[in-house]
Amino acid sequence: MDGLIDTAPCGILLADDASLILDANQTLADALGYSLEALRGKEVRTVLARGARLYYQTHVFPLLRLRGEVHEIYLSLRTAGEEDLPVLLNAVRREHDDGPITEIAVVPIERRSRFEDEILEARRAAETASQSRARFLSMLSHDIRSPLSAIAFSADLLARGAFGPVTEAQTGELGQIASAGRYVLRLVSDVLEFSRLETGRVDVCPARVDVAEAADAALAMVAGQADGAGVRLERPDAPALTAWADRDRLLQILVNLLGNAVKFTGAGGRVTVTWSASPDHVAVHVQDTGPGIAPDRQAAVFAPFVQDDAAPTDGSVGLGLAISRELARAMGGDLTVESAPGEGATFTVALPHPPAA
Amino acid sequence: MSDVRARFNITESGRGQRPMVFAHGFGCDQTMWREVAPAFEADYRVVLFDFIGAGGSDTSAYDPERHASLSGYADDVLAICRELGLEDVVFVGHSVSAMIGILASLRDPGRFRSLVLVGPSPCYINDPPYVGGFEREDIEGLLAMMEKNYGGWAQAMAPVIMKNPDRPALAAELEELFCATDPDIARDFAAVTFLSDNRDDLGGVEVPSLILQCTDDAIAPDAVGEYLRDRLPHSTFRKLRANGHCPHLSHPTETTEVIRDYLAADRGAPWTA
Repeated sequence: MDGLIDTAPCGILLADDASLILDANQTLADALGYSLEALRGKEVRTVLARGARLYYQTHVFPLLRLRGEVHEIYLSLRTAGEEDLPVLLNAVRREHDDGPITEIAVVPIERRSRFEDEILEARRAAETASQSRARFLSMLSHDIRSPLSAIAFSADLLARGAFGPVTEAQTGELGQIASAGRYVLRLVSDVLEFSRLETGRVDVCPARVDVAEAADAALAMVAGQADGAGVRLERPDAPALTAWADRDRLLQILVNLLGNAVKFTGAGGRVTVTWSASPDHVAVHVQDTGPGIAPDRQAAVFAPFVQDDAAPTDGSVGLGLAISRELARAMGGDLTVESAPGEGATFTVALPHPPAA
Repeated sequence: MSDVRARFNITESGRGQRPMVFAHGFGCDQTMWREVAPAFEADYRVVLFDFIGAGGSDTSAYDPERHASLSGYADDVLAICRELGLEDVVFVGHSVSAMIGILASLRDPGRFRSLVLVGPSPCYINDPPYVGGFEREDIEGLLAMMEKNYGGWAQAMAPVIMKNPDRPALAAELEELFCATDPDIARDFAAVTFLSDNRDDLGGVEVPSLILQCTDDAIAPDAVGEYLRDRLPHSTFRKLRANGHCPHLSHPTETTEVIRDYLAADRGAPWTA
């Protein structure tokens, strides 16, 4: 070949139907380390890596025959120096006066090929890690929860004097053991629940739910915590509203949102529950007068295992909002937040309307 | 389990009585036979199919355990024969399917009249003094290449057609995408194909066979065809002028003629029931 084609920045090769190389350009000859004369008359397979010979015969050749062209085939060529040269290959088989000729263009992709190898390797590693995590979580469930429960239960029994008299100081310490045990149990349960949600293994049973009733039940459950923190809980009167939700799961979400709101608002603050309806959905809002969440942190609060550096540390692993959002989504809704720093935050649980009767 | 016709995407044609079953090789599907099979429609009941994972087959029928050896694929061939009521079958198998046909004939010799083996190899890996043509790392190179190629276009397109075997609207697309394969199954099939060693099965074959050996076949070299010729009982060896590994695609006329000659000379299977 000559002129432009010889120096084109890709390898070009012409082969006949017997897979003999008729011609090639200088770029390909240079890449393969052959002279053009040496290349002409060789069989195509002699410039393919051995695995590529199998791939060419079983995949590329049939497609060229049946469809007349192939695109973006990854192959390894074999150079005169016995090195593998990964390339991307396009080919077309066309009728010519002397019979059909296959025109092949190749672009070396050594760096890209290495990246692809790394990506494939990373995917395999991620799959392995995911399996290990599943095994670890199942281990957590069996090997940690049971002994923790036993520790908390035994400490309770001892504190109540079931095995003989205990001093006041001992009762206090035993109470610490029991409550620390239960606290860790809750963390482990959170991790397990989140992993179940993540893999779609949690069932929700939606039904008609009276939003006011669910809100009141949730408020009652955090009333003690709010009292202790000096936070006022408010639930203004509002028209009755029915959502399509799993009542226990909605309660779990609301208790989590209210508990967070109380925790972050601080003494003298206020947490308000309201609800509203749009044509698309029913929404329950939990609004606080706390410090608010900066816009660039609003997505992160829903990410698992993330906690605001500025937040009061309570040692929790930060799964509450991630779990709540997954639960809301499992019910066909969503959980979102609106906030401006210094002006508190409003978390909104959106839920579907009940289906028409 | 789906109907056998849907499961293996079976296509039947032809006006003859005696069934002629065409089995495609690794990497393609029944469209491979489009230049050869029609030539037999006048005299035979022509049956084409796709192995599970290839072409328009029902991938949900894939059984990783059963399909972990070629005998699982031989079971599939026998299931097709049984459920379509095929007797006295002329079986034409390309490449790995030649060996699959041999295994099926060992299981149920009375079912087959003859085996036409196109580019067969009982073992692709060298095992001195046996020359199969490949080393184990060559096969690993093939698997790596498949993984990279299927990561792209094939993976994006194949599942669409694979999972809707009964939607006729997809038939036109299917035509476009022949040789599409399910990437995971194809990878397993490649390993099963190229790492199998069926040399010990040859001696027990009772059904007469025709070995078609291509010229300069990179996948089944001359030495392999000659090995088969010397060890496969009741076999006829024909060296084709056709070069490469797919004579039914590259040299359909010669391939058809050689098969026709062999079948015309056939005086029936030597075994008696």
